[in-house]
Order: sequence, then C-alpha cells, then structure tokens
Amino acid sequence: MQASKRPLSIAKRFLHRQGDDAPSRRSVPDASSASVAPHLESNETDIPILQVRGLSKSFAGFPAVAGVNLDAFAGRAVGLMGPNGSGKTTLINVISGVYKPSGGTVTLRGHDVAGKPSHRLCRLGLNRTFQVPHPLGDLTVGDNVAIVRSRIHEDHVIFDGDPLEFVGLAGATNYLASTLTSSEQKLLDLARALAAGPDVLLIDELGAGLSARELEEVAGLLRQLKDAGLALIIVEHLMDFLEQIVDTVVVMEAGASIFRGTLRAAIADRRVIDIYLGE
Amino acid sequence: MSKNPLSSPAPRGGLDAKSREARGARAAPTRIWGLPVRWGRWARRIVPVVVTPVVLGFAPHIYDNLAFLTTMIVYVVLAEGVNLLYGFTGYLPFGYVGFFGAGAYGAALSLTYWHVPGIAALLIGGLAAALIGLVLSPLLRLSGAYFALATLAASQVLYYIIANEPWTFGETGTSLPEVFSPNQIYLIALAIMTIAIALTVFVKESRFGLSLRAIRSDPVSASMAGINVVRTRSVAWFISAALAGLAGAIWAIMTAAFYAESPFALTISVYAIVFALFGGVRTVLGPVVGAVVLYSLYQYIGISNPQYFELVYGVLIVALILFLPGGLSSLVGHPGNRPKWWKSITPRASLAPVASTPAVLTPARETDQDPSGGISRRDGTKDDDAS
Repeated sequence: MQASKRPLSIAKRFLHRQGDDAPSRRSVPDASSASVAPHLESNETDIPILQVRGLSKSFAGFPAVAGVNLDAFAGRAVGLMGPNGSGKTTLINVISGVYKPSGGTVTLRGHDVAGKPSHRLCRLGLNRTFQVPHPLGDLTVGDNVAIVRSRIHEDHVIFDGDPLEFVGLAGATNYLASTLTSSEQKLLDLARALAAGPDVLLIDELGAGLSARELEEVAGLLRQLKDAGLALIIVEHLMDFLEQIVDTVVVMEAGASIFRGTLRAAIADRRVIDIYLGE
Repeated sequence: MSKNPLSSPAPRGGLDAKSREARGARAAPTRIWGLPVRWGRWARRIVPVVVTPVVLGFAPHIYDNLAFLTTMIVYVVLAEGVNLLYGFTGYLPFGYVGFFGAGAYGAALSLTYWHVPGIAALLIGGLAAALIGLVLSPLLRLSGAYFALATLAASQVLYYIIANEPWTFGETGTSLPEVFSPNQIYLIALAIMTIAIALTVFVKESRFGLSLRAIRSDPVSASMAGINVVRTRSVAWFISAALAGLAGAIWAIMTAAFYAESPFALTISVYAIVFALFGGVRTVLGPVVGAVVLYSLYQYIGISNPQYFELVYGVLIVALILFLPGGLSSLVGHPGNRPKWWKSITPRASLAPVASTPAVLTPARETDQDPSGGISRRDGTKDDDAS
C-alpha cells in the first residue's frame, strides 16, 4: 500500500479539524490511530441517534411500509436490504421527510421528527442521498455544496472538510451540475449531504450503476464517514458493497422488517433466502 | 478486507474539460465587463439600478408623451415581476393581472373612501396585491399548466367580484382626485421601476436567488439541503405580487377614471409575460429592454397600421419562440447560450478565450459564472413545463 503520508493528511483535514472557535459537538476519533476501533469506549453509541418505531406509510390504503423499527448509532452502519418493492426507499423517504408517515415515530437525538419537512431534518443533522441522482442542475457543482453550508449550525458538524474534495469532485467546482455524469451526480449528492454536517446519513442505493472501481472508492468513503462517527443507514442490493461497510442489516419484505442481525447471518437465514429466491 | 480508513479518494476522471464544455460547462470568468471580478460584480449590480432610471428619466425630453411613457414604465415593472416569479421559480402566472387589478383598486378605493395621501394609496395598492398573494399562496402547491390556469381563474374571480360589487365602482367607474401631477406620476413610476430592478438584482445575485434556482432545479434536494422551499417560494411570490400591485396603483392614479375591465384585462398578463420572455427572463435588464422595445412597437403599429397590429405581434411571438427562446439577452449573454444562427452571422472573436480556459484551474471561491448564462439556453428547451 502506498505510503500513508498524503492520505493521512487528508483524513486529518477532513476528520480532525475542530479547534478554532467552533468546536465539534462530539470529539472525532483520532485519525492517526492505525487500528480502527470506532470509539466504542464512549457510551454514546449505546443510545441511538435515530430511533424509528412502528413507522408506516400507506399510499391510498396500500401499506408500503408497515410498522418498521430501526435504530442508527453513531459510528455504525445499518444495511437495509430486501427485494424490489419491499419498501426500503419509501422508508428512507418517510424518515427524510419527503413523505409524511401514516403512523409511528421517528426520534432524532431526542427530537420527535416524524413528518417534519426535509429542511428541518437537514438542520437537525439528518441527510440523505438519492437512488436516482438529484443534482441542483442549474447551479454549479460548487454552489450545489455552498448553498447548504451556511444553513447549518456550526456546533453540530462531524464532517467539516471540503465535501467536494472528499468525494473527488473538487476539479469540477465551476461546472454546472447538470453537465456531470450520473455517477458523478451521485457523488455530488453525497457531497451536498455532507455539507450539511449530518450525524445521520441515509444512503439510498449509492452503488447502483457504479463501476467496480467506483464502488470500491465509494465504499471507502462511506467507511471513513462511519469511522468518523456518522450513523449510516445504507439501502443496497450489492452484498459485496454492503459487506465492506455495514455492521448489521435489516431485511425488509412487503413493508415489514423480517430480519435483523449481521449480514453473514442474514444470508444464511431461511426467511431471507426464501424472500430472495422463493420457496 | 482492508481496514484502512485513510485511503484517499482517487481523482475522478470522468470527462475531460473539453467534452464538459460541449455539454454546457462553464469556466469562471477572469474579468467581468473588462474589470477585475470583484469590481465587475459590483458594477453588474449597480449599473442596471442606476443607469436604467437615468436613461428613462430623459425619455420625456425625446418623446413628449407622458401617458405613453408612464404606461411603458408600468409594463417594465410588470415584466420584471413576471421575471422574478417565472424566471427564478418557474411558476408562470397567467393571472398576474389579478395583482395589477388588486393594486389599482387598493389605491383607488383608499383614495375614494379614506382620502389618503397619494403615496399611502400607492403603498395600500402594493399591500392589497400582496394580501391577494397571501390568499392565493396555496396555488403554489400546483405546478406547470395547472398553476398558470389556476392563477388565471383566480384573477377572473377577483375581476367579477370587483366588477359586480357596488362599493368598488367597478361598473360605474372610479373617479379619483388628482393627487400627483403627470410629471410626479412619471417620477414615481420610475422609482417603482428602480425598486423592481433592484429587487431583481438582489434576487439574481443573492443567496436567496441561489435558493430559488436550487428549488427550481430540484425541490426535493433543495429541501434536503436545508432550504425552506415553501417559504422561499412564497417570498418570491409576494415580492412579485407587490410589484404588480404598485404598478397597478400608479396606473390607477394616472388613469383616474376607469372601469374594472381595464386593470383586469387579460392582455396585461399576456403582454407582461411576452415582454419578459422577449427580453429574456433570469436577467436583470432583459425584461426592461423587452418591455421598452415591444411596447414602443405596439404604440407605433397601433397608430400607423392598426389593422395589422395583431398580425405583426403574433408573427413576432412565433419568431421569438422559434429563433430566440432565450430572449434578446441571449444574444449578448454567455457565448455558449447564443443561438447557432446568431453565432454564424457574428464575429467569432469573443468565443475563443472562454472555450480554451480549463475551468478546473480556476480557484473555487472566485467562481462567478454568469447566472444568466447557464440558464437562458436551457430555458427554451426545458422550461416549458414550468414546474
């Protein structure tokens, strides 16, 4: 592996810039420690940052999400699996305020946020990416990120590096976002989400449509974010990709969660195999 | 499995600068109007606000018809109002005339019943339109043609109420006292226009304007980026409504005696929209130029060849849509946005330096891509759904 000087300095810049007058709300792990124990020593990981209880969403009587429970902890990643139509994206949309829930609660660091509009959630530290890229096409790449930053309270930033540099789009700062390729637009979504300084990040199929090399890079980025202390919820079909990042998975079927545990246990579980392969 | 969290992201290859430019990418300018970027940016803000009223302030010395000139200024204000709403939010207000009428009757009724001073009548007119805007703000939940039609219907509702209620003098006609001399009226109209231009400059250059453009691009991710979509849109809506109200109020004071069908004539909406599009929306001066040119033409044809009037106007609009979807301003805007036919008949000298600068090399914070630039070309091709 390449000597660690450059990556180390980059990581420090991204993950360890707290001094100044605006200290981070939470201390970030020392990026120079080689072994990556995601600071489990503090008890903050025992209390979920995001707590979803009995969340449901029906469209004209059809239950797309029916009573899902989900917890997200700082520095941990939950994978959200399930066949097409099992309600994963709907769940993400309800949590992130795109849809109002039909029932259930969403608690973000003690705030009841069920049904709150997205901009409130953004300011409370929850953000997301989209399955289909949602660039602000009429704005430059730089403005896509700049428009977010000033709206966030300084005291609540885990990631306070340059998001564009982090995802590798710094060279495209002056381009209109609509001129990026679709995988770049997905990374721009990630950069914009990071610019909000979230502590909970919902990743909706970021991997879909990326090349093998891009997948590798994106997995690396998400691991860095997780190790920095973000709570990740990752919707993904690609098992290899998930395996690199998540600690646990929740498997959904017909709007309900039918399994929770490690990915390894999930792919050995009878019910999970059944819903994927049929009985 | 590698546990090294410190791996740096590889630089993303993707497209090279040239093919990005072919897809509409822009390099940041190094100079604006021949000035360093910082000064040029201020010049671009201040010059339209100062020069336009000065130039139009001299107009009465050239063409001595104050009634015509004042009406023209009123249309400039309306075109800027349409620009603010349609250009920056994508909502096409077919019923924009409703705000104009509300402003006219707000001023007229406050003068008739309360005998307020002229300036107060103006402000009441603006406020009345903003109040109507508040009442109609749920319409912003609609999009595209539905929004356009709903505002149209709303303006008609307002018209029928005012035309049929006895206390509004909609049917019997107003008769307002003369609170200002024609010269004063012209100056006030210029002042309102200056406010309209200043507001457009603000919306175009500010973070508020950036938020509007973000919402226009993608409301879902704009919201996720922390922008209060409903509030931001509504502010643009109220500003636009109040401008039309002020225009209506000064028009009412100028006209003094009118019936409800005059300030609620649908042609007012149509002209305001056409003027704005003709000059170019999402620019500061486009609507001003559009209103001045087309309204003068209107006046000229209307006097010399009234029988061909509709024909000439109709042909003009068709030609505009076909050949100049970005409006007049796209001829002088960013080279990448100019129509192909225009490029072929103009010297190419201005094209060279921009195309050869690799955008990547320009420092990020000095970004000052011309907002009118990136946008007006897409206008003709993508905006017709106005969502």
